[in-house]
Amino acid sequence: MRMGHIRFAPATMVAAAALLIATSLPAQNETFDSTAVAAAYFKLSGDSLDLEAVAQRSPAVQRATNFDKPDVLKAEVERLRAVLANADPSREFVISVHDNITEYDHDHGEFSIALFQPGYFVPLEAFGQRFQLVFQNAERVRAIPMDKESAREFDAKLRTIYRSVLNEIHFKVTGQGDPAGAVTGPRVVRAEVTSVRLLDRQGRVVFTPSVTASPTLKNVAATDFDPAKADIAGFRVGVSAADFAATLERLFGPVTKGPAGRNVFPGIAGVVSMNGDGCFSYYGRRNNPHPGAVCVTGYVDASGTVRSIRVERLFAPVESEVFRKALTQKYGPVADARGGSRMSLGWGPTIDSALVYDRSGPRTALTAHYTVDSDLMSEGLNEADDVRLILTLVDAAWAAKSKE
Amino acid sequence: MRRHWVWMLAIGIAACGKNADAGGSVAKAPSHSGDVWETDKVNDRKEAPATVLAFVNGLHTVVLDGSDVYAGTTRYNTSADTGGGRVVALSNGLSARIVAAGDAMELRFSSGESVPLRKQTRRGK
Repeated sequence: MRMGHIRFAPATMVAAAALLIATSLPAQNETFDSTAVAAAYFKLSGDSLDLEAVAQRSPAVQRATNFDKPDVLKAEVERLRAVLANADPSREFVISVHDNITEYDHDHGEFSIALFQPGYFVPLEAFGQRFQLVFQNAERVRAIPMDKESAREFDAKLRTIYRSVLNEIHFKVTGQGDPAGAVTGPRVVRAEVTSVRLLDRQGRVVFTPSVTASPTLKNVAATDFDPAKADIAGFRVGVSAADFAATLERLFGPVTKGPAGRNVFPGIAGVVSMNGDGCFSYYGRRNNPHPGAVCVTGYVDASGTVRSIRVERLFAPVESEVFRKALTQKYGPVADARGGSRMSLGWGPTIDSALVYDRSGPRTALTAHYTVDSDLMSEGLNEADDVRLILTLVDAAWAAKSKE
Repeated sequence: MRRHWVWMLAIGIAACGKNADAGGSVAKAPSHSGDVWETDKVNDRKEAPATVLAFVNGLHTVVLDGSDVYAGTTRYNTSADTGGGRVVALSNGLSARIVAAGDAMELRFSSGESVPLRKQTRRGK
């Protein structure tokens, strides 16, 4: 993750080789109340805050003598508790961020506001902790659409200010996590832009985006996601194992059927699989897979109904952003996201860990994973690795009933 | 005669309603009818973004059977467009057109990506 500290200079966009790297643009208005934002976040998200640990690090406790420390600590904990209790999620905040406007995109007929592109966030500090502020409706305010003639004039104006603007954002805190799945890690504050203005160095308005425009990302709550109605690459849970197997045979090729292995979720009785472990490479294997390889596995209950599915496919090198965009277009706001050397996104309700494909990823009914496919032999070669995309879907309602 | 036209109209409206059902319905792929088509140029990095979009929506390998498209265990009723292609209404407003391109086909998404489709030549299929 990269920190970009800029002051009226173009924000640097990291051209990530494969994974989208989250990029931060710090707040500039000194009066901005990041503690109130963080307090609203804790109130809405249910995320816990260790009040005693935060109080221990506070200046009041640090300054106190050993004699007074217990009383000061107690008072500080009470003060923090009151701050959290009095947090107002309906409060509107105003933050100013040094930002920039991209070059004109001739294909889409628009400029973009850097901060509102996927993967950007505003870093905040409160309670001695770092927070990442993201905007759930960023896509709705990202674009500055313009025809080419108007764009030429606007571009000339932007060049005189080095494309730098002060982005004045009015927003409300709405919860936790980046619905676009591009900013990951702890304490991601989700907010909704209510209005926004772009100003130049003299405070003159450069552009005022319309908050209601640009409907690219459907603005629905993550809890609206229903795994029973969803599909992954066309495959759905709740179908009979016979139909599932016949479909696999017709689309891809031979299917193997067998009993479930050990350590599977208690309700799973059998497995229907096409191409098994044929979607990842390992050292010493004669026929490691190539782009286009597809693997599908279905986990079946005692009644012969498919309750969990995993679909994998190998691709020529492609950026994770392409996958993320296709997924959020299809499934809507992300419920959970994990970054790092690979990307994992999740939708729907939380499921039992025994049903989770990758325990370092989201524990949700639907997950999507982006990872590179390489073996020891290919690691020394100067070429991009193929990419393995994995989708998993679990019948969450059945799983919850099975545990009862 | 008038009654005949009323029936035709009713059937037409019903058919339109079915086609408007974005996201498809649960179905087994047909065992024999139709042909299996799959995304072509799998090693081509330029085609990868369109192939990813096709994969996520299940259109990377499909059975085309008349006006029906079978993607995994999902069936889409397509509608004909003025250019002679078939339109698949996917979820969240996305759609894809399947159009003939010489002996092959092309999958064109409403978001701009496109990728060739080739008929699967697996033995016995």
